[in-house]
Amino acid sequence: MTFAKKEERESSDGTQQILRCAFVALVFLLIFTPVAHAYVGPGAGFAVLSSFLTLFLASVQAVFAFLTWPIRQFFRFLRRRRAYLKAKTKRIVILGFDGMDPQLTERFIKQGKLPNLARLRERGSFHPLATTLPPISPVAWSSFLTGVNPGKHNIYDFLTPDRRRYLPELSSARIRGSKRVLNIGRYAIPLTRPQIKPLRRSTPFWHYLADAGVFCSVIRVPITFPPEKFSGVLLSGMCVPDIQGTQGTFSFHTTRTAMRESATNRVVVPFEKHGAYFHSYVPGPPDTLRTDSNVELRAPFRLKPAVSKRTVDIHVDGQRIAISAGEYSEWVELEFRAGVGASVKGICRFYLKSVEPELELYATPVNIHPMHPALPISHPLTYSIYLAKLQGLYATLGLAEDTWALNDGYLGEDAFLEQCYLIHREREQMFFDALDKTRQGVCVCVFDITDRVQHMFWRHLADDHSTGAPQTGSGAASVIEELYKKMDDLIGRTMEKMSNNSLLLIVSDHGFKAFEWGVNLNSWLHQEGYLALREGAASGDWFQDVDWSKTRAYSLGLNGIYLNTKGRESLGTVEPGAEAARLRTELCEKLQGLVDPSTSRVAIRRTYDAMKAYTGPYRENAPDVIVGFGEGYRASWDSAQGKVTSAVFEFNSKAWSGDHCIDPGLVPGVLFSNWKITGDRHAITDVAPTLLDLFGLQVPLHMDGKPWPMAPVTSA
Amino acid sequence: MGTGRDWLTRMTTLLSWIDQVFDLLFRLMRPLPRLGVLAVFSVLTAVISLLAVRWTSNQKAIRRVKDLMGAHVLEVRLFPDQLNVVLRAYLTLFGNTLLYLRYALVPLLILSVPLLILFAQLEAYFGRAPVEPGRDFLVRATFEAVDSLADPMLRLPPGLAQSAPPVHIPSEREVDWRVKAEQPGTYDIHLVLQGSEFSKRVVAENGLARIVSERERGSLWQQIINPGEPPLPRSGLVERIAIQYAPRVFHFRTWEIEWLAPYLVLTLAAALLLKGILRTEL
Repeated sequence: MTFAKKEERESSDGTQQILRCAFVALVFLLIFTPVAHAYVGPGAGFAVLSSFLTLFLASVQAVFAFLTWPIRQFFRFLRRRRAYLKAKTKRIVILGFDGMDPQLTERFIKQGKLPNLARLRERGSFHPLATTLPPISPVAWSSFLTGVNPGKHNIYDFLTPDRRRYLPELSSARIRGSKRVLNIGRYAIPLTRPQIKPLRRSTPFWHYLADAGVFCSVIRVPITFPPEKFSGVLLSGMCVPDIQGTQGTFSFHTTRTAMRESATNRVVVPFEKHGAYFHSYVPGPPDTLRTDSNVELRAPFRLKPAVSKRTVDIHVDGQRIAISAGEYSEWVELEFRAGVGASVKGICRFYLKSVEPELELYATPVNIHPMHPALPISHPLTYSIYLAKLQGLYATLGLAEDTWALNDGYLGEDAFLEQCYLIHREREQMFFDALDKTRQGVCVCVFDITDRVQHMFWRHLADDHSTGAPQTGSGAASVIEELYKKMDDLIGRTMEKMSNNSLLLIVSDHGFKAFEWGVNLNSWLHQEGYLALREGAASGDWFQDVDWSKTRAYSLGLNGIYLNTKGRESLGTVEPGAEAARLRTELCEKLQGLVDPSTSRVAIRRTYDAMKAYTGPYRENAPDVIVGFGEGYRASWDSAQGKVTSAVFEFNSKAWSGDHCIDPGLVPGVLFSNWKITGDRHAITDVAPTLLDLFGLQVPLHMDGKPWPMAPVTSA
Repeated sequence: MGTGRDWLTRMTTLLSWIDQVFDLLFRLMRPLPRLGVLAVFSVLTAVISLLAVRWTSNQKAIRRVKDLMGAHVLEVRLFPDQLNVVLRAYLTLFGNTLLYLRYALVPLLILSVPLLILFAQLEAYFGRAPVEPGRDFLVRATFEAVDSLADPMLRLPPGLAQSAPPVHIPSEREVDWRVKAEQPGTYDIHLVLQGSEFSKRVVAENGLARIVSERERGSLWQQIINPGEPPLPRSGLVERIAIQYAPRVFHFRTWEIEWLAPYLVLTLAAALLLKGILRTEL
């Protein structure tokens, strides 16, 4: 008997068994329903009433579902007949591992450490997967899901400049307040929902599949915020903001300082001691209901250290959380109350860093509460609620693993790693639930841990670190190896849940290389006379004191140089057209092959003129020149934040020691499959057209990717 | 045996204290309208029940199982076209409902005793209407043996008058008297049998008064459900003396409903409002 037939028979037996149990349950209910009359107080009353109400509603729903199921199935069948009839497989599972590196994977496979990937390589396929220009996650994953180059999906980096103010804004979504507001005294009551506008263009592959009747479960794929409607389920990933609207602002509470300090991605809040308790607060979003001042909403808490000084009790919103030093709390629900009874709910984890000599408590960025989302984070809206009810609270922030806290020394390596795996376990749980619910169709889930851990632990790789950062974590040298082993184990468990006919794809958006030296493109532009500072002024973050009237080009983000173009930038100096084209060529020529005099290494391997590198209607929004850094180099921290420093090259001494924002040819991703994939070139843009092709759908003409020739492996 | 009697005596004493506490509470609330008094008791019941549920139940487990129930309901909505998922969701939902009831069972059992006492007390104050002056009502006495039926005599205080000769029902061992209250008031009537006297209170005036319809012999259960008057002596010949009161109703426009319905609605509403404040998962 073939596996498929066996599976079919088992499924049929299972259905009969379920029907039998349902019948017994119904009889039981009918007999015992009079129990509901026995009202004994509100506790019991609620227990009896609500449970029977739930059952009653569920039964009504069940009857409705059963009665209408054949009709709905008939119509669905008519709609999807074409898709499934022509489909080469009925089930596709895609595991996305952000930043999984082909060279490293190959090395670990050769060392026998990744048995499942080795099996896939041997019996199925393994290819490097060409990434996008630039090889940055939001860019590459956008190409993954749309099958187009960035000129058509409009995502070029995490950030994009606001051309009027020369300030950065999120490239993937624009969040604005309510359009209509009722002003009552000092209060502004919003009458409509906040405006959330997606900036990513082009259509994800699951929309085409859903239209054809193929069910899709999409879990945490980057650049899916705000979630768009389609006939399937989706939980948004990278770029979902925290409750403050940022990409992750953690708070650190300490007795070490008496003053509050704020910086990008963090707020340090002092503890105030009253009696036996230390008081502090978790900063929240601004109170948008108030018009008179910029009031920040806060969730106050108090903390009492135990006599042993090893543990503390945190009292917040009526909850008491006991944690020991070096330990994370469970997710804690926080409520930020605005003046007129409105409130915003969020969740965070506390990590007790130390009790003595100083009390130090870290709080993760406040994530949007999945059960009470302040902004939509899933489609349908109830999907995030469903997951939270099913598996408990979970991280919803796009960049949930707090790399900044480790980078700036507020968390140690062990604590950061623990945080990553806590989040990863939640992700695994939701992936396996989605896998279970997607017996037919496409299930795609992206795991971020591979990217975050490699960023922060790359320097510990024996043959690839030279940043000399101290190894503070236990077993830090093997962290990345362990990470790959765990992902391999996850792949193994996924394979166990798949039949032979199903297709498994394992993809990563890019690889990884060491980040030893930073190149400050703004400093280079300044030194070369393309960017001018006001006389006598030193530069600050985000182009503070830049003289725009004399500036011809500036750099913002990780790979892009923008021309200060007339009519586009508010204080533009470069004429669009021929002058801009000349300047682009000039910059490309000057930067390509730029050598770092301190190491004699090529810092910039290649430069790209956006007008030549991209095609599509949104090419105009791209950086004018894209810089492909050489191995070991990347845009410096200051350069990314629009700051001009005296030196062009600077040593990277931060924990963030691995990166991929370099020349795309150096950091391809991986492509593994349990099917044989042939062809000589495989790119991340090919994934979407391949999936459409596998379901027998015509690949839209605008897609840049091409379907891979592939076939299931026939067992001998 | 003696120990059992002692225990019963102690319980009778305890129940009489409880009666006095409720009498005091009702006296304090006399200025309030009847529905107001009922509302106060509803809120008190809600608060006590919520606290009891919070302290005696596994709140974490209740929350978890409720979440799971919610998840499975959503599952049906999210994956409506996948029959296996839908069926599994219903089965799990049913299992979780039983689990939820199991978690609710402990506080339910713990609450059942005080709530039973409370209900009996509320029933005594809200359950029956006093007899109307000028209208006949029945006094029914049940005896231990049929041969006792010939002797009993009903002695009525001034203000009450017998309006017909007694009716003997040997098959029920019962004698019934038709009595009329000539003026409002609270009276004690006496049943005289073979030299022994057995009293029973009769309420014939409006206002918040305890109205006990039956006085019975001995058992603790009867004392609990008919609080307010001591039990008839176990060794006596009379088993039961009952007054035929009409049920008392609340009027809501054209509706006439007994006290339990508004009490139930009010306690549930109060519990719903207060559960957040008292941090109780129901």
